[in-house]
Amino acid sequence: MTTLTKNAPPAAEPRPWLDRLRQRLGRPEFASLPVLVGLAVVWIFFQLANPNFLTSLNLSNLVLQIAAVGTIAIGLVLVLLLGEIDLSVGAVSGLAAAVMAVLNVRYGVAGGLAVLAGLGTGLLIGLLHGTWITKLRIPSFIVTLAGLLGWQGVLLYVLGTTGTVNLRDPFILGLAGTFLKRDLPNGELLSWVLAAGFALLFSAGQVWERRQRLAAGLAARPRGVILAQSLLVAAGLLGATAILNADRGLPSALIFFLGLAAVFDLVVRRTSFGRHILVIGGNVEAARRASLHVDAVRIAVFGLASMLAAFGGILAASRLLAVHQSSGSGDVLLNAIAAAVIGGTSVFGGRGGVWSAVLGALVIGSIANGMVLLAAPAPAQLMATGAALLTAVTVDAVARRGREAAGA
Amino acid sequence: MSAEPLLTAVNVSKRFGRLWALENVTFSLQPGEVLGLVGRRAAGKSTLLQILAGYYPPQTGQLLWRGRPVKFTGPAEAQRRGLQLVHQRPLLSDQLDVVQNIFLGREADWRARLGFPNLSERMRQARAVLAELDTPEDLLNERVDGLTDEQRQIVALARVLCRPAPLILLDDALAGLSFQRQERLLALIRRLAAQGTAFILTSDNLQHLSAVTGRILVLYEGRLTADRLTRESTPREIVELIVGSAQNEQVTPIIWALESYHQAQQQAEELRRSQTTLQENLQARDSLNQQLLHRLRDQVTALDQLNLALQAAQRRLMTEREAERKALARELHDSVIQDLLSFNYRLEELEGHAAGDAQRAELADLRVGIRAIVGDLRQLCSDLRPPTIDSHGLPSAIRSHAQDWADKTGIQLALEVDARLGRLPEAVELSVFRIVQEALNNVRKHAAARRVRLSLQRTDGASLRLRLEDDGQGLPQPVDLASLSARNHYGLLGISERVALLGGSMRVESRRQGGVVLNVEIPSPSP
Repeated sequence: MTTLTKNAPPAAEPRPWLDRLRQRLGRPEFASLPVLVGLAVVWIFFQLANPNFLTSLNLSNLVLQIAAVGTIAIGLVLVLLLGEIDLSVGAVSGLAAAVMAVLNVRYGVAGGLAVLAGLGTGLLIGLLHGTWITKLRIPSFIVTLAGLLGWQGVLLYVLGTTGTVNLRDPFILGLAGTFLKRDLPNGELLSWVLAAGFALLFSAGQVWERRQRLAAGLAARPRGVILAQSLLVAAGLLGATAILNADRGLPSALIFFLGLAAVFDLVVRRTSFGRHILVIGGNVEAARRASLHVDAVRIAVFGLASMLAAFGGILAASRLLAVHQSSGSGDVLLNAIAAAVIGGTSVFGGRGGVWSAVLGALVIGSIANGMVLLAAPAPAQLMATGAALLTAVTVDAVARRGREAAGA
Repeated sequence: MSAEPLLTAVNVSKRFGRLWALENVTFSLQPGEVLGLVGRRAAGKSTLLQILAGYYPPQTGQLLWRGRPVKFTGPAEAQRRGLQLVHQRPLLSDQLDVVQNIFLGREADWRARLGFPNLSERMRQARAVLAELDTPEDLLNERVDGLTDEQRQIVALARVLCRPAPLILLDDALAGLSFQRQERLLALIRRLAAQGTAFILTSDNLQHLSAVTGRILVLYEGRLTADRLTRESTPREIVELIVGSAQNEQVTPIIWALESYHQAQQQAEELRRSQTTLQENLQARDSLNQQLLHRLRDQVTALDQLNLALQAAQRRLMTEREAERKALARELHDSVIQDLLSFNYRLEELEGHAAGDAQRAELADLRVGIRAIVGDLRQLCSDLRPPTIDSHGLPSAIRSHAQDWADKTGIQLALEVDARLGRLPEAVELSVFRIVQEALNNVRKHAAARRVRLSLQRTDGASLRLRLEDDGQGLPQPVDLASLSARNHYGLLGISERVALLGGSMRVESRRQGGVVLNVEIPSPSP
């Protein structure tokens, strides 16, 4: 029997494989692919320009350099996911480090307590910002801009006339400066155990989630994707451990940084608190209608972000062995924002993830480190970082448009 | 009536700017009671529900929850106490999947809050609610940003119905659903109410309200104007209260509107169903149409073939007729005329031997008569078969015929024959000649013309173009062959038949300033 289907227009797909590829790359599993490619490009470029770039010594220095900014960037990712901005993280990181240093050095407070006091300072400042923003309904940009200026003033006040406080407390210095292989007995073994355990935990978590979803009759991620991701994570962790162990070993700053990233990644992706952050960032009214504690979540996120900034500042102080008047100023804030955005977190809220802070910090740190190795002047370094930021955002925007065009 | 109301509102007021949206609203609600809330647009229905659900605090007045004063700090607090609101327009989070949206803000325990919800239990609850609402459970695996408005409303309802709170507020939440789902939801409301869940619902559909509510509150411009038991009030009373007694003249149309609303919705549902049927029918119709088209094409083809056969027969007939004419002309010429001429000679001889003058004159008369007959016969022969056409071709035949015609009629004729014409197939030459003959005959009989132009050209496309132009009285416009033949004017019809047999085309124009132009074009006549 003749039907009209004969007259159906021919499939208008001149390059179906390209669309299929695009659709596949548009899936959430591949969201961080562009950053990884970018990172590879940066590393290959600097390795070709200077063979010292990919040495154990230099990579060890690189991870030490990014740990502080990366930790600040984790907090910033949380704020960005909420659809807000925190411009005060740099100043808060400096102030928290100053509070810790002054308490420890001038007032003889024990190192651990001083660190806690620094973290508490950050938390309080963040809660204050959050309350101000939610209860008085003032844009976060304004409140934290005031914070950026104000807390810098407080930092100068706390430091007093000396201007610089040198740290000598072993606990504080050990926060960032402990290398597992160099400083601990069996430290090398411990680092391998840590890396392998983390990789196993990651894979087990993925498999467990898949089983749960399938058992409940929900769509789950394909087994191949989980396997590939697990292999990638394991390779990355074990490879990094091998490289670091060829030098002084796994630095404690990196353990803190990655540990915090892992914890907050789980918080964002799994816990109801994290999901509420995403929902509020995506659409506040939808969050209200679902009876979420919108204000409480916002205040908590600002508190967490400032506390993470404080910890970042403390790590930086611990690595540089001192707190001074320009701690946390300069490009700390901008690098933290850039790291979050380069990693793929949207500044409009609701889209992105904590790992973007790690990847973005790696990209920015690699550029800075490589430029120093090449003895490039500061202008070139700034321009390169700016170009990386613009490229990352552009790639993301183009990829998203492609995804929407492909109807994925 | 049970002792302690679930919820009591005492003198609740709310002001937006200078406008009082709600003024001193007081009512109470028992557990398991279904309360309808009606009023015109901007009467304060949504405002009241949103105050109850904690979206904003009342400006004055107090809410009592299970007999104790409460102040909700937000929807989350109200939900914690056990009040849930479903809005008229659903709003979901695109960040989460459908299942996560259903349970958003409703984590059962600390495990769910830490990200390890009992997925199977969740799915069981979600499936149960979707089944109640007659919705396929494929919905649970859909992307949120691809859902229709009705699907979104179903998700928003599922969010509330998965674990019903003691009090559920529905702000016109049925409006976005299909008729069947509305019925299912009303049934579910009745069932849940029997189990102790209280509802407050607003709706423009009084049928819905009278179907499930026990009591109806009427808001008029922010004030509570009536609190009626549903079974003791008629829709008309309710509508009068909604509209306000001051505007009695408006009541009837509004009642009409409200009552026909339900019917309209049923009709819409009916329409939707018949649309689906229609779509299916259309597909069947499509194939039927195709079949009909095929049959039609077959018939047209058969008709075409018949036509061709008819044309061939006609052409044969025409050829036969020409042959007949030719034979007749020859017969006349070769025997009858010759015989007559020989009689003429014999009479001439007789005339020489004749005795008297009277007799001679008689014979001479006879001879004149015979010669006249011979002349007539010759003319007849020439009409039957133009004598020149076989020997000298079409141009000479036309020229001689035209000359003859002009002499006889006294009409001035300008003739123009293409030198490139050459010899054409016999049938064509004869047909063209006959056309010219017939056309000139027409002019003579009907046109009353003084001047005629006749041209015969060979075009670049190798076809033959005949053009005859006169300055006579013209034809009635538009030229219609059928009406001409009805008045026994067969000339043009005959021409058109000949033209059609040659596969050519004919155009007759009657010019406004007088006269007719006949255009005939015959394709590729050369062999």
